[in-house]
Amino acid sequence: MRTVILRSSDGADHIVSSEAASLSRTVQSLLEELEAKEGEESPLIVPLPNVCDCTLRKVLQYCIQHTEPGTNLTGRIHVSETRRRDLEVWDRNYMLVSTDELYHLVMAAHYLNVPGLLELCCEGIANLIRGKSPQHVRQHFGLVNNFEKAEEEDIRRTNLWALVDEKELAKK
Amino acid sequence: MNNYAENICISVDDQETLDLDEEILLALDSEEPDVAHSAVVPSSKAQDSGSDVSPDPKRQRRLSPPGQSPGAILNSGVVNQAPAGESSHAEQAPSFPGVLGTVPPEMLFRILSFLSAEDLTSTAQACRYLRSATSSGVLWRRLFLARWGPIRDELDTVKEWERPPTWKERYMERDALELQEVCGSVSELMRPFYAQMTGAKRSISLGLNHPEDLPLANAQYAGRVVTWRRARGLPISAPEHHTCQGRCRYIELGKWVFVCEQCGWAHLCGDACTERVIDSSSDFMPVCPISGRVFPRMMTWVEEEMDMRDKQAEEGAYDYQEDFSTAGRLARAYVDGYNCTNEEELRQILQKKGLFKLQSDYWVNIPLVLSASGCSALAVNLETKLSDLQFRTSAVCSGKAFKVSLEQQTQEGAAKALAALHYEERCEVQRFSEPASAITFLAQGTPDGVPFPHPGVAVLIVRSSCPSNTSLSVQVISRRSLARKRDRRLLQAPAMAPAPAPSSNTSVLVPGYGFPAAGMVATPVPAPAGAPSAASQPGFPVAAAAAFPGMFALGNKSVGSNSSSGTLLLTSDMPDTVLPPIVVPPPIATVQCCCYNSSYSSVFNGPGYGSGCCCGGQNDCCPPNGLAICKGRGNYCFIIVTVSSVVVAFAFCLGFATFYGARVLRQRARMAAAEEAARRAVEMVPKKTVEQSVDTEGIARECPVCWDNVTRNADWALFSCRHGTCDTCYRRIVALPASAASCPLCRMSLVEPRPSTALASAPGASMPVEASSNRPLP
Repeated sequence: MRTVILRSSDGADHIVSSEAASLSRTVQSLLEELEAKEGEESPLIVPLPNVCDCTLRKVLQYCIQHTEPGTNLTGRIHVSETRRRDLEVWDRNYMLVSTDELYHLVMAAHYLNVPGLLELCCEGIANLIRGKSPQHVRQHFGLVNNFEKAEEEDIRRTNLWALVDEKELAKK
Repeated sequence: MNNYAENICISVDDQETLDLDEEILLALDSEEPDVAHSAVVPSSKAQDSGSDVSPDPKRQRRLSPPGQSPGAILNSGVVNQAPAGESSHAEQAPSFPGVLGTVPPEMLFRILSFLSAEDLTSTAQACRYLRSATSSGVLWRRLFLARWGPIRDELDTVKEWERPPTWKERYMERDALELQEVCGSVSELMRPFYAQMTGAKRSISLGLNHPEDLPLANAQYAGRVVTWRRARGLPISAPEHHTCQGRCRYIELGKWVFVCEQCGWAHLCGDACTERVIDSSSDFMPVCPISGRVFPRMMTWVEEEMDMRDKQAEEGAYDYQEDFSTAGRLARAYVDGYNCTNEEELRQILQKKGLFKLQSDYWVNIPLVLSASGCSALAVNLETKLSDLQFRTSAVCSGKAFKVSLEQQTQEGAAKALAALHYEERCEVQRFSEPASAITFLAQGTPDGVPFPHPGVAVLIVRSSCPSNTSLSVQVISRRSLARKRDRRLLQAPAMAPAPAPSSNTSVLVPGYGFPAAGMVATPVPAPAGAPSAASQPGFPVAAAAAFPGMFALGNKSVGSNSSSGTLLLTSDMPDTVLPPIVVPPPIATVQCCCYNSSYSSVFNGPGYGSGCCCGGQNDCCPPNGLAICKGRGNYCFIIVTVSSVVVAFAFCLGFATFYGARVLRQRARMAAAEEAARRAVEMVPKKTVEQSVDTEGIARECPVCWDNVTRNADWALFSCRHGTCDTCYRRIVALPASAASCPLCRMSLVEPRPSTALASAPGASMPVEASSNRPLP
């Protein structure tokens, strides 16, 4: 098993196994190119200018966890049941991060093209949105309400559910 | 070096594993400072020593922050690392659009596809960008299909002209319907609970892996995939994930159905394709690498803002405060028109907005661009009572169907519309399709024959099955003089008596552009030269003031109503499907035009279709609604046609009656003959003679009842079914009540115990029973 050095945007190096690194398709293709260019012997340094140190560290946590022995490269297909459950628990704990960090994680996962992580992050963001009222969504994600008044009224009306509608009517 | 690298690997690994044993923790606790110090090399050194491993100083800080032992970090685990990461990100994080705004659009799509219908609606109300993102038909389609399964024949029920409802609308509608059904069938007491249960279905969310999979797609394709898998020896149920990392080859098994050669993973490249990637070579369009299908691009936050700014810059000259709906713009334009003090100002506005001014008896060509939903509209102001308007459309694409409808609101109607929300006048020109390049529509007014009796706003809506972005040219002709006697007579009806149009008859027409990009267009009402004209028409400012709410109501008309154009005006959603092309019926015959300029097919020659002549019914030779053969012959033609049709009908009736009468007579005779024959046949039936069977005297026979052997014929009795018993048993059976007396072998009932008399009268005769029972019954 070879080791690969991943260099983040602020110059920090991370050493991981090539197996874990190639969980990211971007790194995988870069590695293939490098290998073809420089041969087997020389150390493989992959510069990742779009990912900062902390985020890369976080991504690598995921990669290492998901390439441990008994884990298939792409995830959970041939994994035993207990291992899979452990991984799920691990994933859930892994997603306990702040919104900002989650955002950086999504961008990094998008850039590095790690399918499993990408899915996990999207689900994480979706979980943040879930069950929130429009005001809360705005508050949480720092959005600005750029609707005009009449337009807002219009939108509120088109997005009314039947039950809510009935309740409102009953109140009136 | 190797040792060194491993060392770090372990440290990274261990630090990030949650389920560490206590022992390891303790062991690491003692080792950790060592590892941290040995692992950290300043980056300057790393550069000096080439490829040496060199974790950043930051890393050192992370590993052992001041005032906290490394063991504490380990104990706190991953969760507590978050604040540290956050603080380091806080400086770089963009503040304004937030997470959802800066995430790439296709990622946003992925995020949104985790949401349920309820969440989508609340997200849509957060801001404009999210509204446009969440109204994507793809998301709602998945939710719809997952909840109710595929819908069939839905394209047939949607009329060609109407914009098909978006999936969101469909979802909401179906949901309301379901709720109604459920709540309608239960008692008052249980209703809230049932409503809650049904409402809970809205919060069902799907993962990424539940896009329209094969069961939802065509059953035929599903079968094909299963057959293919079986032939390859692969498991029939699909693998959850794709295992080949996208390096395998795909086989196309049907339209948009692809199967991986190695693992049998099936991909259905529908609207909700999850495999799409952004292709930088083709203008950043999302492309599915498997099928090669290209998807429409979602606008990013920045692009949308730019777009908005451009629009604002365009309209900045008029400093509009609100720019949210087409109806609002229309109303504003009306106000503009009234605010003009003189002709010069009006002309300036007209030039700026690219408006056209139309005078009576003139025509003007207006370019129209069909939007994606296949329609386009322009507002027409009918300032005075016009006789009719004529629209000539020169279509680039032939063989497509067109429909032009003109909807008019009167002054009173606009005021009324505040409460009633319906149109006062609705004038519709029938569907017209013709494989020619120029098509003429003649707006025919209300059903009682009065075309446009009221001045006011009219909205001309052109719908077509041409592909979007087709440029059409609509020629609007305002005709003041009434050419036809009939029309004049109708117009002179006492209730609606309109004055012939004065010379100040002007209309301003505005070209409409495709929705929703530029929205519908505005129509300033020009104040005719000189102030008194405005004063002399006191209704007009009222109309202008009322136009805003009136038209607004028009735009907001509910989806489910009969009128489709109400929704057409204000739609901002992209329609899911392009209208299907309309099949033009083959022409029955080709008729020469009465002007001898062109020929047209006679399919369209009939009431409602116009004459089809090149003159468009302008010449007297060519009545717009008449038969083409009648040209120039006036009423004689009508008489001839009527008389001949009456004669033909009479002849037909006569022939039918003759034929039918003859048939009835023939049938009756045949029946009588058959009856006669039957009667004769009954009479002719010969009477059966008494059958003398073979002499059985002396042969031993066994009675089936008492098992006695009988040799003498006199001791043997026969039933009517020709089964026999010994004489004693026979008597016993016959003596039974009538319902129980039956043949012991075949259970044939002996209705009349007649043989007893026969036996009594001739006990010694050979086979007396048989003789008596075989006699035909009267």
